[in-house]
Amino acid sequence: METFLRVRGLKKHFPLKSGLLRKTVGLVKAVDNVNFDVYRGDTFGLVGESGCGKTTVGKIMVGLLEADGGDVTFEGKPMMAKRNLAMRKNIQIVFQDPYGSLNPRMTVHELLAEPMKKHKMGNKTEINQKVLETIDIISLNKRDLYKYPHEFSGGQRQRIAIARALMLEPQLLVCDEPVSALDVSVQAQILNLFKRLQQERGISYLFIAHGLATVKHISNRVGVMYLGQMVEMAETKTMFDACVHPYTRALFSSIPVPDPTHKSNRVILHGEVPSPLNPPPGCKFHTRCIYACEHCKQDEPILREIAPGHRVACHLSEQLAR
Amino acid sequence: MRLMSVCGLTNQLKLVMIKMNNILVSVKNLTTAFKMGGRYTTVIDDVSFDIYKNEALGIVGESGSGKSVTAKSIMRLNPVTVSKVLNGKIVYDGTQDVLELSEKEMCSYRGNKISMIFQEPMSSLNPIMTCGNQIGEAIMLHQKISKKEAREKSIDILQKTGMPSPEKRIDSYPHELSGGMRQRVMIAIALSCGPHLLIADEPTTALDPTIQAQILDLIRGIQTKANMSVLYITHDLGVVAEMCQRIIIMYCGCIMEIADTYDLFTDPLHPYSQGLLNAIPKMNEDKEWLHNIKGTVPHFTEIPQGCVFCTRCPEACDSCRDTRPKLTKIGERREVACHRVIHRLRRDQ
Amino acid sequence: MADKAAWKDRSWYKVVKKLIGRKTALFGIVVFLLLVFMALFGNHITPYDPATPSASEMFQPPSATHLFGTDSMGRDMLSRVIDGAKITLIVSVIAVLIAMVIGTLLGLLSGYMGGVIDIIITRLIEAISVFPMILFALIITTILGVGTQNIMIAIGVAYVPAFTRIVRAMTLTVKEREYIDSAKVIGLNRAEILWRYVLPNVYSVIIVQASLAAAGAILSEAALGFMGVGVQPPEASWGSMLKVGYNYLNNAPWMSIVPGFAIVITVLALNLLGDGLRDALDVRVRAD
Repeated sequence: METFLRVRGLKKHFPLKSGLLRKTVGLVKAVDNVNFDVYRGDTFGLVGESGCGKTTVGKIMVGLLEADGGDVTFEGKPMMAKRNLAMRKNIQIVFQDPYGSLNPRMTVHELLAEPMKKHKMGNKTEINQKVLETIDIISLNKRDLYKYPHEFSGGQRQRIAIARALMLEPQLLVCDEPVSALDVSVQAQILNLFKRLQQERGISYLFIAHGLATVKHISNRVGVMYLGQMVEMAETKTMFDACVHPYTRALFSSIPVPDPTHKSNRVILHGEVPSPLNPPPGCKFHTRCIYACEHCKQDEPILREIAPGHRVACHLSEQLAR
Repeated sequence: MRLMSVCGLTNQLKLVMIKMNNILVSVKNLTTAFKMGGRYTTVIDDVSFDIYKNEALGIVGESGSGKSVTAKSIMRLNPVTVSKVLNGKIVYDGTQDVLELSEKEMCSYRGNKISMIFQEPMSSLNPIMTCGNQIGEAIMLHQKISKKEAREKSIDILQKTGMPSPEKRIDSYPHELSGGMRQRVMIAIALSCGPHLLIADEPTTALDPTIQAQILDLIRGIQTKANMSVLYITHDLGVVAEMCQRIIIMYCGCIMEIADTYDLFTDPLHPYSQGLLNAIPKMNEDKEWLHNIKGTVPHFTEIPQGCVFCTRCPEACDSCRDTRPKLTKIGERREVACHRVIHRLRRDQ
Repeated sequence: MADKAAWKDRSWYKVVKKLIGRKTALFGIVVFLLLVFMALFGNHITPYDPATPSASEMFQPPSATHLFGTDSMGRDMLSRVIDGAKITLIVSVIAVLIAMVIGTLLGLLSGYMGGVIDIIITRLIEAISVFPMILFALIITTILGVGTQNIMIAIGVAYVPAFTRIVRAMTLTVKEREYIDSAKVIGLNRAEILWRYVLPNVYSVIIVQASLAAAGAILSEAALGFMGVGVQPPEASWGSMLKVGYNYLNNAPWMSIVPGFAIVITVLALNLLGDGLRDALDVRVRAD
């Protein structure tokens, strides 16, 4: 599989300023030394709870935030922190909130035509043609082109947002919780749309979500984040059948399964997620882990391969894998 | 961490006990309208169901299904200026019709006999009152005890909700607590007077999965210990599968199906229930494409005259489009509102 | 290509409908339109020539021939008021336009860019608003000289802070919305984002502020005219008419009452229009 997006050692720290002189009193390590790869035509699912840094990773990939450290290569070329126009075409984003991500003062036609106009991808006729084709792909009507976003439902708006992201023919689409705000039956439509687009166009997705069943359905490979770090990464099947990291196990077992006969060995975690301002020393998860030992409290584990394609950041991976 | 085994079959045992027909709240033919665009439009139509004592009942529906309006009607929390009840009764404990009570009588009823917790603890808690004061306020409203006693009771209840160091947290303001903790405070307020029914309106939707697991565990534990009924309002089929003994499926203001949890998941009768269950991605399944219920939820001005689901139903016929099917009892513990299903089952008998 | 959506669904139609539904706002619109009409066609509807003096008809009280009486030079008051509407309207409209354009620009930049630019612009605005309007206008006219053109500038600049503050506040809110992020990811530059994404979402407050500022500008013009630094003879505005009429308050009170009344009605109407617009553009207020 061809590696297409390669991220190594990604760091993003937000300084906490306080006082009259706005001095930096602390550092929120939102993303701390994250590594992952996305292959061409593949979907990489990124999961974790709030505050784990997954949204920040997504924003860095699209250029909304600048990384403070790390090495990102796209198609073999290093990706600059400050994006130029050409680079923008390659990576686009679909946001979570279909109600906030479309300009309420622009018609659907204007929203879809704008990216192409900005990047000078054709004359007026060609752009109109492409808009008509795209409207068809997302199952909306020609009549809808002159309506405003507030005249559509949540699911339809999300489809418009996806269409807008696709106008530039990006190779990587970052999806930041694209279905969480939608109804169940609408979620199914949107997820099917994503899959169809991937099959037809070979787009890769970086799918950020906290709905595990959704991630399992759509991703080829999954990465789990906790407090700014990647704790486990594997192919979907391996991840959901045989995950190793104690946090992954707790997370996966906590999702209520829509099956009343399901016998869940639920792992209930004690306590709250520690503050990212003051993360625990050593392994960041040790404060809530039943397997924590002295070694865990002092040394930070690194993400290492315990089986082909399966990486875990835990000192006790080998014992837990058995 | 502790390892816990949750078996869906314990729910079955509970059902046997519930069969002794102890009805706590009986909703009969409830029809409520909201003022939208200048006119009153019906948002829930002819809704009837019972809540038994000591049971966990779930109402599942998508947006616009009317599940929240139904729940709020039981507490009479729908805004009086823009909503009115067109028809129906809500009978509490076989005696009073809640809809007939005066506002004064309602006050002794809300928070005391029936309590509610909401989705967003940040907007449901008063940001300028400490948590202790909010819990204490609820207690002192319904019981004649001193402030000091109320405070002690508050700490006690907070402890029961699993809040770490409750004596310290009691003087915190909501914004100083995390989402999970705030939800615990809200649960403490709701439970402070020992209600017989707890209505939980999407209580864990805004929480992270691991915190959600903690809160659901808490509610389940409290329900068992306190002999309380719980009404779950949610769109999450996983939550109801785990927490509820019976499930009501609502769509566009009407009840589509009422069934025991196990029965609903193994053999859903209503086409909407079937579609819904097929549309969700499941952890133990490996489907390439998710089943799609064709079409979209109709706008409130375009709700069909007949069966509300007829525009999207794969089995819709003319009688479905003409007359709205009534919720009909099938067998002992099942009710369905669908012409085709009722017709088919009667034919088979 | 595709059919345009039904015009009854267009947002502006709904806004206009809401606006007309409010009787007070309707009053405001009617008066404003009357004012515009008088300004445009005043020359044709005045019963007498407003500028020609007539020694025989001085100080006549309101009567059948002169509805509002005559002034110290025998000129018909009704004609003078209609004529004065032209100047009053031009002064207030230009002043508001100056304030609106400059104020909006500063507000957008200040709100969107933040940082040093925000600090500089905010301090500048504070510096202007420290001065009471009249004092500020007097200073400007002292530097630039008296006359119609200069008071337009003076009033315009004095109203810039009103626009800047409100636009800046709205910009700060809009800046955080996700559609702004969407625009950045597509690759739009700051100017394009401000023009196509921020401004269209901010204009409703600008319109409301403009009608209120117009009312204020008329009052300011009247005050300045009364002090003699505004419109100079032979041109007449309602303010300068007040100045002249002041001397004859005992003998011919109608010389002051008539233009004064015109000012009051217009300012009231514009305020009501502004309130009505604010409610009509607010999506939460229902049309019923």
